[in-house]
Amino acid sequence: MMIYLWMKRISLICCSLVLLQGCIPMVTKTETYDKLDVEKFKKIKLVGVSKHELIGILGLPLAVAKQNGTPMYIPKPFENTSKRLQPDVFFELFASKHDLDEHYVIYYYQHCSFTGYGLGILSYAEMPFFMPGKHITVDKLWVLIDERTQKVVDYRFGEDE
Amino acid sequence: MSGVIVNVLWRVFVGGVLLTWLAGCATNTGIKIDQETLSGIHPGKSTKKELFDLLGPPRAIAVQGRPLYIFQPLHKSDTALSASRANIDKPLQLQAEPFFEVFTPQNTLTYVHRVYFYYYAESRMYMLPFYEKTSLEIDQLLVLVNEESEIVEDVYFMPHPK
Repeated sequence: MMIYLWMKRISLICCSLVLLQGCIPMVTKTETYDKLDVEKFKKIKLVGVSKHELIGILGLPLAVAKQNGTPMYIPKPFENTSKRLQPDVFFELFASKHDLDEHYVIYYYQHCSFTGYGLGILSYAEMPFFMPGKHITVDKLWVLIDERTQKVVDYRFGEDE
Repeated sequence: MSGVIVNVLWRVFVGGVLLTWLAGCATNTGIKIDQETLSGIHPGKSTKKELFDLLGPPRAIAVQGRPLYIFQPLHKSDTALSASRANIDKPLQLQAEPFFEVFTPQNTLTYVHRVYFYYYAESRMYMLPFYEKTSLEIDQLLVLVNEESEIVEDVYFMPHPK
């Protein structure tokens, strides 16, 4: 008899949880898959790889910097807005090692990952509404290409937190 | 006997109720791009009209030297990661030049060239109590079109790496 009483209680609790889950604040951890595996790409010898092979490996760059070229628009992580940058800032990264002229271009890649702990509502397919433990990582890759040979000359990694 | 049936039914019920907690969803955007679709595009022969008949209007058109505006192929929850949820329906501004890179140097690009950008995106979201995860897979198709002759000059397909 006791077991039936517990069955009823558990059933009632489960039903209540399901019915009320839209109103229950939950602690939620969220992360995205979009992470550049920096260690993996450090093992690949990018120098000497052709421009088309690079696009085959990493996809289209987010921006292409050309000397005196058009401004670049770099998306802010997990936002629908971009920041405008002049291409010259990217050339500064390689200026000390290379004698850069108009034959060089820089491909810029950026991958963002997000992990957060916060309060959310379970059944409401939205992100937590209060997230004090937000952590965004932006992995960046700059690839210097010589347009005459169409090959990668140098590259640099960077990370922002 | 009836006790056994009640027991089984109860387990199924509790299991079913708990399964409702394992929520998830998948959404897709764009037209599926497969080998059959690609074989319908003939560089040097296909016209812009034939391209539109096959794939419809592109998601974005890249013009050299001008910014490109594109709606991100993201699930609502991905976009909601941003602090500015009000921006969900705003297009993202990007540089157009990367879209032309795959077509050089084998094509001589001039001001008459445009890159029509198509994509097929699949977004998945998994939700468990206390945990949720999102992923996005995009197949991209770039079509180089000469706006003067209205001929498709080149095609570049980038499936999402498996």
